[in-house]
Amino acid sequence: MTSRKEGVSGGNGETSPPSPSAEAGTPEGTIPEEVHAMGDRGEPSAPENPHHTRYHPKWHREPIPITWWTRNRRYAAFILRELTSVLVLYAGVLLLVHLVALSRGPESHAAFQEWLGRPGVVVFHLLVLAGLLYHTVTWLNLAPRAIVPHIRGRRIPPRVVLLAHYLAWFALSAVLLAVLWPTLRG
Amino acid sequence: MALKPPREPLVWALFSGGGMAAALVLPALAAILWLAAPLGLLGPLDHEGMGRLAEHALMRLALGILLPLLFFHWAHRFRYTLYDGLQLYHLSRLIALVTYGAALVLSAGALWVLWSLG
Repeated sequence: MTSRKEGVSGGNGETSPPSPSAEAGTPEGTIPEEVHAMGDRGEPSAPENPHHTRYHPKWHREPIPITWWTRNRRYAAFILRELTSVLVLYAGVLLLVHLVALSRGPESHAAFQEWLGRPGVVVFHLLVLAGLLYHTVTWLNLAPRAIVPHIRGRRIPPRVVLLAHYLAWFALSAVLLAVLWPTLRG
Repeated sequence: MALKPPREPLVWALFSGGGMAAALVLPALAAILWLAAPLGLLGPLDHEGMGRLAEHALMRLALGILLPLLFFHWAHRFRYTLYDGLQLYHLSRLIALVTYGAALVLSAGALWVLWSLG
C-alpha cells in the first residue's frame, strides 16, 4: 500500500501537490497512523492532519476484449438472446411498411406481397421467425422468475405461471389466425 | 448517467411490455403474414379484406399500442447490448439518445400512419 501523505517531515501546515519527491520524506517501513487500508474513505480528516490529500488507488483490472461473449456458449446464448430485440424492431418496421403499402392502394400492396414471395426474402424471413421464436421461448421461460403472484397469501407455483404464459401464447396465436383467416383467399 | 433516474422505470416498463407483446404475437404474425401468405400456403392476402381489417378502430388501437411497444423494447434492450457487448460505456449518452430517439420517431410515424388510415 502506497501512501501519498506528503510532507511528513514538513510541519509548516502547507499541503503540497502529490509529487514523487515528496514521498522521499516518509521514513522507510513506517505507515502513518491515519492511512486506511482501503485508501481514502472520504472523511474530511483535514482538521487533524493538515497534510491530508485525497488519494484513491486505481484498481488493477484485466482488460476484457469485446469478443468476451464468444468464449463460452452461455455468454453467446445471452448475446444472441439480447440481439433478438433487433428482430423485434424489424418486425415492427415491416408491419408499418405493410400498413403504408395497404394505404397506398392495391398495386402497392400487390408489389409488397410480390417482394415477400421472393426466395431470398422467404429464406431471410424463416431466419427471422426462428429468432422471434427464440425471443418468445426465452422471454416466457423467464416469466416465472419475474412474476411471483400470490392468492390469499399462497404463492402460485412457478410451473403454473409458466404454463399460463404458454397457454396465452397459443391462444393469442389462434386468435390472430382466426382474425386474419377471412383475408386469406385460398 | 445516461438518463435521470425517474425516467428509468418508464423505459423499463416499455421494454417489459414490448417484450411480452412481441413474445405473444410476433411469431404468429411472422408465420402468417410473411411466410404462409406470400408462399400461398394459406392463399395470398386479399387487399380489400386487409384494408378493412387495418381500418377497423380496434385494430388501429391495438397496432397503435403494439408498434410503439416493439420499438421501445428494441431501444432499451439494444442500448444495454451495446454497453455490455461492445463495452461502449463512454458513449452511454449518445447511445441512449440514438436508440430512444429512433424509437420515438418510429412510434410517431406509426401513429401518424394509423391515424391517416381512418
